[in-house]
Amino acid sequence: MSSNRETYRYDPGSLRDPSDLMQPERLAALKQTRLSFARLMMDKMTEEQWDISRSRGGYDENGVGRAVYAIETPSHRFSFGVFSHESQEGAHTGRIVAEDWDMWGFLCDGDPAPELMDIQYEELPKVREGRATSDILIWTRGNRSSVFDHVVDSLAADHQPDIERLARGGYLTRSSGYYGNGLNGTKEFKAMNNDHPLSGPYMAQMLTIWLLRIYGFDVAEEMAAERSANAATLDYDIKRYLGTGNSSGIGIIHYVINHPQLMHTWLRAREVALGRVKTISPTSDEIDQFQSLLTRATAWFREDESDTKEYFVAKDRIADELERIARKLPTHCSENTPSTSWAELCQWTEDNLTTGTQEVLHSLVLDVHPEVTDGLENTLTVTEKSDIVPGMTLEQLQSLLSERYRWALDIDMTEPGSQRYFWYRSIDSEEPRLGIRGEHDYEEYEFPIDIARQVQRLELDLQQHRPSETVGEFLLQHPDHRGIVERIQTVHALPYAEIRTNPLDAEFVPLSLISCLKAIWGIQKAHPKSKGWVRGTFFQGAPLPVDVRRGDDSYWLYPEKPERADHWRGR
Amino acid sequence: MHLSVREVLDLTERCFIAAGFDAGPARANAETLWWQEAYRGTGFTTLFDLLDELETFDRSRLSLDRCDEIAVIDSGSQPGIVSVNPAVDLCCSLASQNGLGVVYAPLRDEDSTLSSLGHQSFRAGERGYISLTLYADQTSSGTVVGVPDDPYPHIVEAELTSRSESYARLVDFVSSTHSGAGHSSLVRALCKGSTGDRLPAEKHVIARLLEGAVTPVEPEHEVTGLVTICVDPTHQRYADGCRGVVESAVEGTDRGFTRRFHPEDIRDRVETLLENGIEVEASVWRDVFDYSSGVLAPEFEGSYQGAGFDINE
Repeated sequence: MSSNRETYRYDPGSLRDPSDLMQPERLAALKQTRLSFARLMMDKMTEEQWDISRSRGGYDENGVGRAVYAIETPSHRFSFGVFSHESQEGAHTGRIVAEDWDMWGFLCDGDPAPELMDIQYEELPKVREGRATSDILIWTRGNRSSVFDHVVDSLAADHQPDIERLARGGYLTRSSGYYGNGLNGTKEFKAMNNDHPLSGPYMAQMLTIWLLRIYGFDVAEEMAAERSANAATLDYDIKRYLGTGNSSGIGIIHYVINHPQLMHTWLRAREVALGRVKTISPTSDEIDQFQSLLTRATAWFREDESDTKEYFVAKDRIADELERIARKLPTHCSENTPSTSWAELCQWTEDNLTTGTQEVLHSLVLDVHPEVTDGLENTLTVTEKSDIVPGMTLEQLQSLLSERYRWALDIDMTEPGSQRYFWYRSIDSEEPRLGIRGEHDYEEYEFPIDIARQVQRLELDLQQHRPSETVGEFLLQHPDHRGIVERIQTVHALPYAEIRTNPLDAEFVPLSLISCLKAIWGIQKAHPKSKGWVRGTFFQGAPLPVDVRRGDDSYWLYPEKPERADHWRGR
Repeated sequence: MHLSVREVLDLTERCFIAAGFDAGPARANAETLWWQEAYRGTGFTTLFDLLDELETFDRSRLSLDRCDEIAVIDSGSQPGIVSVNPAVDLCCSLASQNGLGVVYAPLRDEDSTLSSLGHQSFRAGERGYISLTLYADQTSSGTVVGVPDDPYPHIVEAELTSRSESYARLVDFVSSTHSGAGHSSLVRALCKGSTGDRLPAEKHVIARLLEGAVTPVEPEHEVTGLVTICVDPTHQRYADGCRGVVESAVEGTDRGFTRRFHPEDIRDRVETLLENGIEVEASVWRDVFDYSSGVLAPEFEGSYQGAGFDINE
């Protein structure tokens, strides 16, 4: 390991082995970091002091109306067009499949003309067939949270809402998804030049998530104001404390398995940052800073009452273990002992605490040393290029299987339950689904996300051919293997490309991979609703438009629940 | 209406999967038709025209008839779009081993997918191979040449009034020789007029191939087909000057090529398509969209019950 402060130097061999990191249980434990997209978006917005305000429109006492939010950056202007609505009771499900939503909106380049607003009002509710234009970056549809009405009622009665109720979910509005990058005719990610402020991965989605938060505050306040001349506005501290809700299901499994190059790129960047930070022996000031963050995080986990069910480490347990780290710290970093690096603390955590807490620690030490992520943001964009290598011999291909796909070959596909599920998409909004093999219809619609099974079938067929034959010759006779061969030949050298799991297995927990991607995106809270569906919160504690405008770059993660104030009770 | 590039690729891939293709070949075919869209503006309409018979295409019906000097694929009377990718994959693999690969696959008498066949030269070029695609059916003949370049291969093509000389010689060679005739027989067939024990240098062979690729002839037999030729410019046999011969042929304005796709021009075209999308008739999109929906399970009771049968809340 290199010496202290050489933050850019790390031993590539010290990065976590994929046999550890790429296990679903480990991936499920990952937490947001400085390299998560939501945080990168927020950093950019505050650093460049974006000016975000409503440029036209508003909402009535039922929250119905249209509005356009203008987003001014130093080089571009964007707009967020919103159609706010009052959905019929029971019509919104929080899923892609729904008959109605409380809002739908779009993020676009420039300023949308009234005609575009009219057209998009009609098109956005058509989930599969609706058409955006190439100026539109993102489509979203959302719903009000269960505390939304309470907030409106409270404000209309001239007092602040019950903070305990708000704290449970942590948001007023929740989206069921963000659609862009060419879907429904939206602008393609590749069409954005490098100088486009949203050219980084998922930046347009993250901005839309943040805007949905602002929309939620506005609509609640205006509904209250329309109902009562004495209505209060939502307190600044409460607004800061609330984020945007998110609901995610098993569609993410298709995504993470079908984009191995992206997964590798994003995971590797955070592992490199971790590798760098572990080489640092912190100063006493840095230890103090870490202690302060640890205290914030402990309180935040302690206050989170959401039920993690059996899928995640309980929030209370993480809080307990963070306190153990706090107690360990003085002995770890005693002034009487030689300076020790973060690596030792990470190792102690690994030896003694749960994976969830280990990953919180990783996130926190990265926050103490933001410089270790320098340059890594630029590595997050990758072109997913893929092709077969037809001249490779089958002997060479077999060797790749043995060396890089041993994990897949070692899965016993003859075990009962190992092929219980099949994955497919329904014509209802293309929602992904799981069926039970042999019991349910539609097995013929199965999607090929069974990497381990495909590898095993490939190996079986390879054994029937001469090792000197080439891939080109082999595929002529076995076209069914073209997809898996192309994948292996493209990503075999990327250690974090393949998730070492079998999604067909009866014991497979989709939530683990959903949680992983959400951490990469930057979700903070995650509340599993089932083993394939999670709700969560983005941007809790994040700057508001007024903070962004003045470039407030203070630390916003793990926000404290606001204390009740006298003025909350009304005038 | 406008479709994004991603939609064109995804819809095309889904159509092939809905027609029974495996995911890998379906994606490869989608890339081929996308290439046709980017280079000729006709890929999506070709897909639309194929919809009625797409279900009858069967990638697994392709078989390898011979694999010696010229590999021969039996495509079972299917159109070129079915054999275009297996042919170029096989050809590249032969080139990587021997320096030169030649693959023949028959086409239909009137093949509606001829415009997609040039994708072979693009794909081979992206892999680092120099390539010639020679094709002929009863109504059209042509040649496409690709040279590796950046950011895209340099592509030139010639539409001919009848079969090219190179095409005719290679097809004659296929039909007149038995398996194992040897590399020298192939070279002599390509370089008609070469005599003696000494074979012509490889770059001379390539030069003759290129010259013959834009020279129309009236052949004795009107055999339809697709001939793919790939050369590995890094192979010891072809490293000496072959690339230069091809480059000067594709860059020269008097070599008989009627259409040129410079890498920079294609980059600009792709950027424009990415920015503005692809314009298609709404009725064309509707039919393709409906066909592509064949990959999705029909509506049923479980559709409204959450993600799966035992992972609901």
